[in-house]
Amino acid sequence: MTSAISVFLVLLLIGTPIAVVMVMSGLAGAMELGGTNFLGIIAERMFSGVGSYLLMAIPYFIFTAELMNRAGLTERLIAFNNALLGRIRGALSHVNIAASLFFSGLTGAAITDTVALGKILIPAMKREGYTAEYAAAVTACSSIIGPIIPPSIVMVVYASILHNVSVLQLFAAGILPGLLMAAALLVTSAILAWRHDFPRHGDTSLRTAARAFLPTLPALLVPIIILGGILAGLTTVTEASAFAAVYTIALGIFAYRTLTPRALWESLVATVQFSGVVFFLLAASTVLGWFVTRSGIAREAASMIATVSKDPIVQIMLVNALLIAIGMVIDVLPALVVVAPVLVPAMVQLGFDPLHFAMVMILTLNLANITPPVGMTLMTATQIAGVSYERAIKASVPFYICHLVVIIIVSLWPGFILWLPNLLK
Amino acid sequence: MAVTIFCVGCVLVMLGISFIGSFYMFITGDALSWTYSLARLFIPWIGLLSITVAFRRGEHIAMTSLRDIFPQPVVRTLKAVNYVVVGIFALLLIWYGTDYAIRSRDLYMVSDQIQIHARWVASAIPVTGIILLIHVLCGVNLFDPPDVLDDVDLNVTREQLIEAGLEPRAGDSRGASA
Repeated sequence: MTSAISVFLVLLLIGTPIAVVMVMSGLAGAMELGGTNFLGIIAERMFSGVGSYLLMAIPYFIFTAELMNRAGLTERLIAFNNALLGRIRGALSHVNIAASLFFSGLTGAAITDTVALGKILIPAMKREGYTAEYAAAVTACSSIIGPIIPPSIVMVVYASILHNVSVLQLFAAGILPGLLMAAALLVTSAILAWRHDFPRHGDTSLRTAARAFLPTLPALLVPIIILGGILAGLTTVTEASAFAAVYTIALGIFAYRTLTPRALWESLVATVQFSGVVFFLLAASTVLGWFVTRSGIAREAASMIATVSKDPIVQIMLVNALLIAIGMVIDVLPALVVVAPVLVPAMVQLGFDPLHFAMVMILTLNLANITPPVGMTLMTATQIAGVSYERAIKASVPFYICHLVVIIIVSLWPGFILWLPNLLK
Repeated sequence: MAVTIFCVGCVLVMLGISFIGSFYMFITGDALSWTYSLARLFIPWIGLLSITVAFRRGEHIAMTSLRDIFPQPVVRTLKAVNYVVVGIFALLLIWYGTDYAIRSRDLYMVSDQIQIHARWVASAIPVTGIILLIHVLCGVNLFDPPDVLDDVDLNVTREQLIEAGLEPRAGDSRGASA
């Protein structure tokens, strides 16, 4: 175990790609267990890591998101939410959050949401008098609803590396926490709007609202196709994701007439590139996972947590603090594939429900998107806003706190997460 | 570019097959068994080859913040070490991947008549290793990730703003008020 941990830490710190770090440390551990004979696991494990039928959904979901982004959906979503919330003080701040909520049902990637909404809304917010750091903070902090509301690539990855929960259960479990995140952000935004006297837009007539809603309707059918099909048992996740991708192509070409051959090609290339990142992590996690399973690290982690406290509340809070600390230096997906094989069996051994802990873990690691010093999503939003990272970090504190409150609620109240999945059984 | 085109082709073919299978089942209620088996053949190829595409673009994820605080000569040395590590990784993929592909005995049953040997699918492992090794030997920039916004056009047209309801249409007097 010592050589695996040493290889892992050294390679990680010198900037080796995390997937390679996982493979090399897994192989170092395997060699410690059985010599060079075990090096052959690299081929077998990596092949099985990318061979599952469920994984087809990953390029399909990414493709759907890329198409949506290039088909002009963003502007329509903003217009619709502007018609709904424009009259409230702090209009664009609320529009940003609500559009993220709708966007999350279509894409499921925080950074996609930040770029798509941010490039339109951040300059518009600055023009209306919001500070650049506030515009960046609200855009980044609301975009992290994306990986929680299904469809979610993070959830597909989780279900692929840990087989104790299905992706269907995860999708169902993500809906309520996602809505709670949006509600908490909207409340925070309303308080800040009132305190800072943010602007609002004029009243919107029913006709204008309807005119904004109708073009959005065909796109809003995408989450219905995905979730409705899966939750009603009509399709598998893979089938639903394929349906959604083909439907989105048709939408872009025939309904919105904005999807050019060039945009289609760019979407496909982006799909292959991002799929490569995800598949590499997945394939590598199976090599490290092989060693973790055989080494007994999970058992030791469980006993270590139990030594600190026997109280489940303290245990889960301790793990949450650890996950936030990990998220400070590693991005969400690599953090998930590295720590999940160790922590999940440990927490299940301590008596936590696998689905409850899965969602708590995804929610907490998801904060890595906006947690400095890495915080890729917040960093991207600050670049769009043209403001310093430090100022954006400060502006995101109220929203960060409200995400923490959501995590505490779902950590202490398993029923909140489990209610919908149990209802669908 | 050839690998990207191959992967894009695989994604499109796999999507087409999956869609035909799902659509057929949705319409008739019966499953087309060959669609499931055929589509599965593509996923290891897409999964493994796309790794090389992401690598070539520098889109892999690494923790570079600590490395970059060192002086330039140290950073260059660490980058060289990383090239060696990735090279070893690629060699392991080629060596053990070839062995794994040769030893594969399974058959993918597309239909009663069409059976595809697992060797064709497992060959994706050594092929990925070879491409990765070529990237390393050619000195491709593997360790300076591109900025997320590199490929993003941040210019927003007036039409887009009108579409988003953030600029009034001609003859529309609605605007922001404090």
